[in-house]
Amino acid sequence: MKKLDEDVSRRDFGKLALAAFGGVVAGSVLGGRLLSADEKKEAAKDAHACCGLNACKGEGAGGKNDCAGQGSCATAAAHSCAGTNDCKGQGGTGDNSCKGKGSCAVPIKGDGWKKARASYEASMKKAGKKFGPAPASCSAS
Amino acid sequence: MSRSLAVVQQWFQAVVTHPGGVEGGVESEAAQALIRLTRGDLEAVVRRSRNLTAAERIGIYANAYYARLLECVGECFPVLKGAVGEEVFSGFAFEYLQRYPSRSYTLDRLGENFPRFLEETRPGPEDGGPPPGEVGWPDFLIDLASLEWTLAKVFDGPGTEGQTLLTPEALQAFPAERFAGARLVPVPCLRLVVSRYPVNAYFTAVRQVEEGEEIPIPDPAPEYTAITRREFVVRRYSLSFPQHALLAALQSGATVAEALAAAAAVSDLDDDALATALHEWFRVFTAEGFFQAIE
Repeated sequence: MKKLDEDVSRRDFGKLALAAFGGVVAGSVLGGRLLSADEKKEAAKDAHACCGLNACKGEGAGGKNDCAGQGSCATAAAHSCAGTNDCKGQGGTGDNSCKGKGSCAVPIKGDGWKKARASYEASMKKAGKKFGPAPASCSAS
Repeated sequence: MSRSLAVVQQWFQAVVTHPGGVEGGVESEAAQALIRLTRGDLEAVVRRSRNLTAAERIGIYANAYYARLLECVGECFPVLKGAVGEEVFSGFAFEYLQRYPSRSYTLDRLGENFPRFLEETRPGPEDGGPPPGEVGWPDFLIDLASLEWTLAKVFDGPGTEGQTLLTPEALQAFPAERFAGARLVPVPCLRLVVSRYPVNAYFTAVRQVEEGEEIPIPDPAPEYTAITRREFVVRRYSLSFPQHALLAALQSGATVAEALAAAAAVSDLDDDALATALHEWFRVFTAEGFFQAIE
């Protein structure tokens, strides 16, 4: 078995530190002109592809992410239409079946995971991957 | 009985935003403290219309409030929502909002407990989940939620735009012999994400395919990702385990020497190869703006 402590103590840390320092200096010269992130290919396609949420997408002048970092780009503006679409998505199946009933806010404990398993299982089957059978209480609905 | 507008407004808010719906809202402590009512007395505060009762009229606002919140949760986790489908996601989001009702003035914080909620409700073996201690399919969803929330926080949190980071002049003035004992201060937006499934690779794949094209769910494999923001753009970087160990050590306040030891301890490379690798890693990390100062 490999003894990591021994390995580390045998390392030439002077050499490693010198190499690291050289890298930092070289990187500082490049400063921001290197794009090696995962979204390299996406950058040209969508200036906002790198952001995980669409809340402020394209709202800035010229389609820039002007609101990034301001801590206030809440999605309120996109949702100012309160009073419409009452009950939308609140039914157990995401439909509007409860519209107008005024009390459709009924929690369905564990339902998300149960349905997620069914969805996951379907996805794995489609990809030809093995997936263990669901227990009787968790079968696909 | 006349009531001030302020009291009625606060009562209305307490009722409309209550996770238990109008009934639960009217009976809640907060609402009762403002206007003591039983459900049947509701029309003493809100008139009925020709077609709707008072409860139904308030219900429109209560339902709309939750519908908006559900949409907002979905916008925080678009890739997860796409992975499980709208119906499954709505089920999660609805239950989440019951357990973690919105408490902040800003929707920016709405999803902050969602990954925790998924972890807390993660199914055990009796509910189709993996045996205790084993990585299994629920972890893919939990890790994806964590990644997306981290992206949201980096997008919206403090950054270094408009600031000068490490300059060649500052580094040239720094004695090389002091480097090992120095600390490289990471930028405030740098986050390191450790995942049990390759969710960052999945995220990238989803962003690159045409709409409607499905990406297969990956098999479990440890994944290390650095996330930061530069010039208002959030960027993701796939890391090897030694790179992660190096950055994690620096982020925890370790000296360069301590961080190098952490990376060396998990690297199979010999000194020459590791020195070459370290030079390249630090070159990239610095150029990409991972560090703001050297101390």
